[in-house]
Amino acid sequence: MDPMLEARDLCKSYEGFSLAKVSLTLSPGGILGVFGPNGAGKTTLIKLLAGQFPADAGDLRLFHLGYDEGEREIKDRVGYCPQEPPYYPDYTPVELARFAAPFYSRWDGACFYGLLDRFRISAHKKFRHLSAGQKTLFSLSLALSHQPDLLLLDEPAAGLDDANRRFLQDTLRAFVGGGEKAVLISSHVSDGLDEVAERVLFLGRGAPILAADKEELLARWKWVHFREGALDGALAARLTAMRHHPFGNSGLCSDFPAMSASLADALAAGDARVENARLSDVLVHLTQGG
Amino acid sequence: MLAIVRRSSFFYVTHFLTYVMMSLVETVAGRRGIAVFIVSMAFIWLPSSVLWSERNESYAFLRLLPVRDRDVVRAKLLLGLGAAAVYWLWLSLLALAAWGATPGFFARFSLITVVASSWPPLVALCYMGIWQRGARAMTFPLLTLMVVAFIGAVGFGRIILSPGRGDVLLGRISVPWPLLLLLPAAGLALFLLLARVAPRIKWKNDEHLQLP
Repeated sequence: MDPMLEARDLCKSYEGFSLAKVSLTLSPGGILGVFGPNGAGKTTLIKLLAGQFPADAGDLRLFHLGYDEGEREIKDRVGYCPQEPPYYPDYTPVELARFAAPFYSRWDGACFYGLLDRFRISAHKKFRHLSAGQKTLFSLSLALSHQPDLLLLDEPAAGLDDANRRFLQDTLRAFVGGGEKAVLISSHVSDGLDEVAERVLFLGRGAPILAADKEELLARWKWVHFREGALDGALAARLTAMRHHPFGNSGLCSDFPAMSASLADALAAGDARVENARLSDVLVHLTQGG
Repeated sequence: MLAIVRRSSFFYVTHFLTYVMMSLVETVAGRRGIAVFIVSMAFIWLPSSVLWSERNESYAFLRLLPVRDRDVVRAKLLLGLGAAAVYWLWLSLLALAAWGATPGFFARFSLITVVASSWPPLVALCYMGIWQRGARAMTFPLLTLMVVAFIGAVGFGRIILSPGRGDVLLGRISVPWPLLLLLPAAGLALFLLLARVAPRIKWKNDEHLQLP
């Protein structure tokens, strides 16, 4: 399937930070999660993808267009929720929608008011008086109401309560459900949005660390818990992020299929057990070695 | 683009209406020279309108929308140009109402036109300064400009203020008619030149503001 978004070797530098050679593609029906610790470059990357500023180097095409040739066409088809909503603080949600609507070719007012209602955002309260979570939800409402083909969401779960976070997950799944639209989210994995991502890109200190299908990644990365002395030294040395507990040790295995045969005896004897790693375990290990 | 003009015009309209009211009150009260003096202070009101509308602008929001940067710049500059034209027209009408179709009016109309020629480039420079350095950073320089302009407007007001002394002064500095065409044309040409450079200045500053 033709990718909606293709980025190749994107670079951006500014004082104190540089994002180096990030490449990614996103096809219809896909949800890509960009994860990384604070300062990894997630916001810089998503701003580049949303055309908020140009890359210093690299190639970026959305819907087969570059921003220099088709900025209006691209932004008309992209719903971008920035980390810090920059709307006019003295406008109400309704006034903001009235301001934004004429710029879009597929604005759906009924959808907008439906979302305001669903999120219980007061239509006539000034934007500055909304709570942090409501501001994020308003941003999402605005991004969804012009019927975009691609959503770019920068930490959309920040400040949301559990119910709205669940609704956001459902909304994103429904959005890509038809197989014609796609989502790119940047987030901390602890936000719970890693659950909806099908592919992941880990960033650390402005550089890509790992890009993979999430299920494949989690099939390879496992926690191995074992009694002291249950594994031979060479086998134990292949585990990383070792932790010592009163009742044994735990280590992270980065290629479980390759290691499973070696572990078979210890597993059968009950001296070791395997547990699925979480995405956050992998991310923390890869970015901070812990 | 209309939405941007409509939003940005709020301060232009409120400033203009305030001073229209003041000048009408003065005219009705018979102090016709004072009225012209008040309106002649467009040097203050135009930069002030630019400054306050830009202090309330969110370019980060505009950058989310499917609108080209150069269209935003064009909308803002056209609004400023339109405002300058409205001030010129109002000032001229007020002078006509005060003096009728007399040599006194033509002398004042000439002076108003000469002075108003500088307003379009002045507005463009105000925008460019704000796009270059930010609205907050430009507040003090623009307020200083307004104070200087106020002092200038007092002098200008004195010239056109009194029917007797003003007529004598204006008679001495009468503006030749070719200049009445050339100066506004030069003002517009300078405005258009600045308008060509303005998008680049705004884009560079905008990028700086967008960086995380």
